[in-house]
Amino acid sequence: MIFDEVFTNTVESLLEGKFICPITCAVSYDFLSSDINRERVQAYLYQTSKTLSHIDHEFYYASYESMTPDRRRASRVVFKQTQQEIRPVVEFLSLMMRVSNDERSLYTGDEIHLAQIVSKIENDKSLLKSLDRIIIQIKGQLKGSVFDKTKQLINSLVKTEILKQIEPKIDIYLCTGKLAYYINLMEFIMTYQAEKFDDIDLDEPVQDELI
Amino acid sequence: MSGAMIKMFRMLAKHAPTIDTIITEGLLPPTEEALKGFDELHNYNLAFETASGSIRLSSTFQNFLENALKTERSLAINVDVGGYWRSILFNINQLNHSNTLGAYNDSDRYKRLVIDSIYQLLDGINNNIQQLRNRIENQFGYVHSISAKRKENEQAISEARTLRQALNIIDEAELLERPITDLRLRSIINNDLFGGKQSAIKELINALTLMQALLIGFRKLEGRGKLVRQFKQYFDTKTDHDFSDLIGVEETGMPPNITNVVKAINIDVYPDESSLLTRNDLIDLAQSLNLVEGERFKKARDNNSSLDMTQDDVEKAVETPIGAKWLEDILLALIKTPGDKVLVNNIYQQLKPACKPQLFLDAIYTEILRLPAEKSKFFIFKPLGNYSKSFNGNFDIKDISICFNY
Repeated sequence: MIFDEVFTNTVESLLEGKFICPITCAVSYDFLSSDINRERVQAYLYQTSKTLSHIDHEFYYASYESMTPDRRRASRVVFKQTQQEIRPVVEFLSLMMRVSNDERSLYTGDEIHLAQIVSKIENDKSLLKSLDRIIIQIKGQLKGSVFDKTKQLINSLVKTEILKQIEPKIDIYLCTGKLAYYINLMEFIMTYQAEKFDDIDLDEPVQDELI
Repeated sequence: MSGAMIKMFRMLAKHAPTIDTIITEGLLPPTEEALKGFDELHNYNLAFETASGSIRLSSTFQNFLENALKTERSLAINVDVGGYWRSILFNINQLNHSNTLGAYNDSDRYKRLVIDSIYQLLDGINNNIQQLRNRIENQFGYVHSISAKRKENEQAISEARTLRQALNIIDEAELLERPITDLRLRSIINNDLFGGKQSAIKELINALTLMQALLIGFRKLEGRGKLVRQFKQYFDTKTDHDFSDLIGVEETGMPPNITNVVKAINIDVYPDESSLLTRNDLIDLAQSLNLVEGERFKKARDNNSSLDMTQDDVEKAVETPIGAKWLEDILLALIKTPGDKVLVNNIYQQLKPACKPQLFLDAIYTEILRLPAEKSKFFIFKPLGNYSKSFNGNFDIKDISICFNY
């Protein structure tokens, strides 16, 4: 049998719990874009009682096909960790929507130019205030310039694999497919804990937020 | 009332540039005029500053403007196909009647009216289709917000479907019931009218397909942006940020796929500061694996060792009294070392086990921590400080730590 390196790398990455998206792992992502290849990977994973899952085809990952107490515990650990990361992600997305004056949220593959963000924040005190709030949430250093603080935020998002730097020393970043994962996780939370969001009204501000 | 209304509309006209900036940029230009404009808008409850500092128009005012601007900037797709068709049929009937009577002046007039009606109908249809094309190409750029674009898209789809249905009114069979002797008119009807109808149907189907795709995109964009804003407001206004009860401990079924991820996506569940295991980290790790005391591990190891005992070095290390001792020593070191980083090499060098460092570490995984084999991938031997990249496990160890393998 001919050694299929892409297949091997893709399966190994999935089994190691890595996620595959067009930004983080383009070769494996392209490989998984084919129905036939997906079926091959799926067949292999199935033998290990795992399955190939995806989020809107922006993000592929392996999930358990059957549950054991250990696996359930692992899922809980992952979820607990991930939910702690939601708030900084939400704050970041919200900040970016304001920086770009766009009500659309970021998507996989969208570019983030550090210099542009810094320039916008430097000229808008409310954006700076929001940035400081995020820095506190990610336990960063509030001392330093707007550039330093923005860089801290970006670095933390690179660490959580939401952003990927296109080239070392070039401050341009790409949104990875993990963003789609967080968005879907938020949708999941909204669906199953809808009562917590019942009184959230985006149309009108609450009184104490008015001038 | 009218006086107040006039005053308000004068105020709106005066501050139109400020309103436009608020709509497009969500902020105020740094001018005194803009600040004054905002104050006046705010007094009428037409604008407000959000908690995050952006400036927004009230939703009612925003909708009012979008609707008003929509009627100004766009044309409705509502050509009266039925009206033109009835006119065509009526004039053909009149044409035939005039021919029968030999009133050729009248029949010429009716013929012109039929032709005019056909081309007016075709012009109307083509204008509507062009209008649809423009909207699709501009992605409904004449309105600003995503929700407005989505609504416009839905409306355009509805209008295109209505037009598509209306084209069925142009009925060849109904026309064939009427004899048309004029060759030019017959050619216009067959080629231009019926040909135009078929061409328009194709165009409309294409437009509908494109608009459906756009609609999915708008809904998705609107959904993501809205979701982010909902969570932002939730985090800003609520104190309960724990959603972990979504995954019950005792549940027996499969968890939802979104929470069913093989291994942590980010291995930060383990301590990452300086990437070294501390005593407490190891104790936590041991406890999470139900490891309580050394003796129990030893027994478990004797009964069910997961080490590959065929490996010469391991056999010597584990099965000799010295090997057994260093396992105990390591365990004691893990428990007793107060707050320090655990340096495996201290024990390694002290005990001088007859196995390579990686096997030594494997023994710790399997015999002491009882880590499943897949978890051992998280850890690697790593020399402290600067080291050569040629390190391959056979390195002459000076300072080695257990590190997390990211």
